[in-house]
Amino acid sequence: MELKEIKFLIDKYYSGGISPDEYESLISSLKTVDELPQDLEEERRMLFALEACEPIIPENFENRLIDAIDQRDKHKNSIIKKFITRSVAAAILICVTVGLFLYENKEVSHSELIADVAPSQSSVFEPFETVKMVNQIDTLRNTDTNESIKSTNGIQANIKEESISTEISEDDLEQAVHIVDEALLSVISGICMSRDKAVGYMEEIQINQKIEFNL
Amino acid sequence: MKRIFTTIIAIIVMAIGVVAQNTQSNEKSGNKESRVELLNYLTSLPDVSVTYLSKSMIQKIPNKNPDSPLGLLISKGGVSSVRVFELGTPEAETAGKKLMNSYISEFRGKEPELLMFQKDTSNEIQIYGLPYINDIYKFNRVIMYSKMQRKKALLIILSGSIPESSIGQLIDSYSK
Repeated sequence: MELKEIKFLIDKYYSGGISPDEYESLISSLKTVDELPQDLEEERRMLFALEACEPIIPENFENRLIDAIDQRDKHKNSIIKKFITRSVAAAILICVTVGLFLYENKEVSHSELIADVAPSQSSVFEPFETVKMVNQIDTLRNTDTNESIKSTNGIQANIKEESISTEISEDDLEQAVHIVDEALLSVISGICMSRDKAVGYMEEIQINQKIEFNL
Repeated sequence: MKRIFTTIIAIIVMAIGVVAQNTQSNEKSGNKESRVELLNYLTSLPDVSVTYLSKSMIQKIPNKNPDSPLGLLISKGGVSSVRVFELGTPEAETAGKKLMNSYISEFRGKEPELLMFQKDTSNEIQIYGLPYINDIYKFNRVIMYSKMQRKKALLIILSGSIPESSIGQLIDSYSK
């Protein structure tokens, strides 16, 4: 092997790009060549010294290395598992919260069983209360079919259930509408009276203020 | 050790949650019972009349008159039911007010809005709006109580998803 080639291989050795075959040929050529320039002689000595050294490998090094790699993989997996578990838990919590929020805000169901003897919103009634209401409806219905709107004791009670409402005649319905209209008009007239009073008071206050200023 | 602490904290949080849930449900059931009792009591009183219009009945109203107060409310949309209580005695009036207060006190949405309050020796008017949490411009319920001189007291409960503006328009339309 020529000196140029030896130098090239040494450079390659230091740069870390030397192949095992090239390294073997470099060592063998260094062994065979008798005389070398000063710089290459030093390199040869150093390479031979390194060649003579046996690497110290700790006991069970390979197993420990494999274990360490396994541990690292497990740790990675556990992080992924934790992330997935927490994400699922967070998603469930969000769903429950949104569900509760929507449930709390839901509009009053019109399919509720309704009787005027116990009018209320559907979500309020427990099953036993509904049964109680059905009994009341039945009792009132059995008293007189024609009196489905008017019950005894002077209590006028419209008995309504979504299904029952179909049985109510147009006359009864008109009568109920008339009652509601009258009630609304009465309240509105009361509101107007109150408003007029309030306006009157305001005007009085303004007049009194003017008088005070004039004084 | 860390796991034990986490488990203990989780158990404590769950226990607090369960206790809070139970407390709330107990309160709810208490309100339910009180309201049903109130309604039963109110309807058992003499000189009390109750009129109810459900959503399906409102839809079936023949000859809907848009000039009537109810017709106006229906035309604006959102009214799913109407209840009218005519209270002929002082005892019925007190029970009617209690019923109104039970609706207001157990309402779990936004703060109930006092739309009107007027009271003197002879007349009294109270109007409350119970708004939705997610839409403050709509009322879940509008409760009107009116007691005018020489007239029966009235308690009107409008339910559904009633736009705030409908009430204003209703009053404006009939105050001219």
